[in-house]
Amino acid sequence: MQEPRLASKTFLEIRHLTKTFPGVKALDGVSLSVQRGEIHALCGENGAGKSTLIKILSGVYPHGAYSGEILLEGKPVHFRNIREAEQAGIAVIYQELALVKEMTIGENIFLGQEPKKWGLVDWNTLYFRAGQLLEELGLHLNPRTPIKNLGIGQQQLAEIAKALSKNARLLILDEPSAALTENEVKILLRLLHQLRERGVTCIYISHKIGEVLSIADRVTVLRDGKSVGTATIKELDEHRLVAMMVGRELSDFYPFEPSQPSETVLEINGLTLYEPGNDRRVVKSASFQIRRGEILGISGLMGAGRTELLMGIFGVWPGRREGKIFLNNQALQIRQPQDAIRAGLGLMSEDRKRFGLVLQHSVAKNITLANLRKIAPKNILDENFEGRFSNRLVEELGIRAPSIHHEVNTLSGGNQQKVVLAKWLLTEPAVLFLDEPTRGIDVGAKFEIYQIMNQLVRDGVAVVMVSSELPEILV
Amino acid sequence: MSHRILVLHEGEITGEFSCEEATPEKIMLAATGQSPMVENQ
Repeated sequence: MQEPRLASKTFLEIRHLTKTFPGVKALDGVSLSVQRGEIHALCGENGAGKSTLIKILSGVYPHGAYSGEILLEGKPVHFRNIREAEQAGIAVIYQELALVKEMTIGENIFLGQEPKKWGLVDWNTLYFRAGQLLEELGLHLNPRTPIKNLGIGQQQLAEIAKALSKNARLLILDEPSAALTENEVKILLRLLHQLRERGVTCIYISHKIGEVLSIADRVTVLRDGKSVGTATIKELDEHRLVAMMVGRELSDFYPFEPSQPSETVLEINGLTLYEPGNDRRVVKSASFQIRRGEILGISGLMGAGRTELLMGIFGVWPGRREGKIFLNNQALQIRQPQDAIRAGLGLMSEDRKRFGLVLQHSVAKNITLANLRKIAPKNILDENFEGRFSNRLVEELGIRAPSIHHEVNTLSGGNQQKVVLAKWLLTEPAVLFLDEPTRGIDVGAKFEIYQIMNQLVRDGVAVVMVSSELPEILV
Repeated sequence: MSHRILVLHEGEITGEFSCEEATPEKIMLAATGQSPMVENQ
């Protein structure tokens, strides 16, 4: 029988790692071993301890700032800073890229380690070697291309090339696919498999279950700063992995509640939307009813017109529109979002960062954004009202933020999404449209959003949910 | 999570199901425009 290729040797071993911040134990006795050449996924919800672990491994939190042991190829290591970790062959690729946008790919790859000739940068060698490296990785990129001309996915790949130029032996990818297109994810995965062949070990941090299952050899799950366990990919499926992450079974994960929908609250009659500037129809004579006390799921493939349909109802479709909308049997004229909001409709957009939030503003400012009238009784903003409403919603929805005065920027994706929800709940809508409400947020936050939806339905709100995740619609 | 499901295909509503009758197969058929509802039109 052939020796399994990956069973050769432990590359990294972590023993009883504990890291405490004032008032919080971010890591609580975590042990973990990573084999040479394996792709080891690290999963867990936000706050599970993943980033703390990575910061210790990469020297951001120096030796002495934590307790426990790290062994690299059997030898204890004590990194005092990032450079020492880099010298040991550990490279971290963060979600926010660290490339210099104005410089070329080649310049970025060799930044700080440029090949020199007579004291000057040897550009020919630099670009030749950068080209070689990119080719080896199967990346068809010209090393003289400025970084700013690349898509986010290609930038990520260039950053991996940079790490490898420093002879990284352990590549840590922090949520690498958060902002990538499907095709870019494929290229990234192919690259990681290729690196595995070359003996590069990889720790892959992600909460995208499908991706983890298709790429990793083994998975370690962290929860509340502790290791829940490590499993090989063969032992896992979606259900088991999610159950490990959230600490409950998947059947409890979609908290579906039967409901007896009552009267029709909103009726859409023959809604047709035309592309701006031409006669192509993106929504073709859609007619349907939305009932009080139900969740209406809207399914379909990419480009089927789901988001457009919601935009059309809400008065934000930029092109020509035909059809009628009735609220409680009364014809509605919705020409702009203000009309929709006044009529009791809410729309949570699929892109919270672009359309749902003002990222630099505080939690409180964002929550009250669609409802200034409520907090400015005499057309003057009353900060007491602002605080009272915001605090109430932060509490009701379990938004984890240091205070309502913090920028939403600093919150996790799930908590940002809850801020957008809070904004709409404050308007006390009769119909709430949610476009991909759980995209890009971790499983725990998803569960909380489902619970909020159920609560709304119990309160008699009609919820319309567009989702690309079939289980979310169906289960 | 839903009590009722609408399926869109190329801008058209090609399926409507209650949560009891919906299956992944029915939804995929409607989403790819192969449901009986479209043929009947």
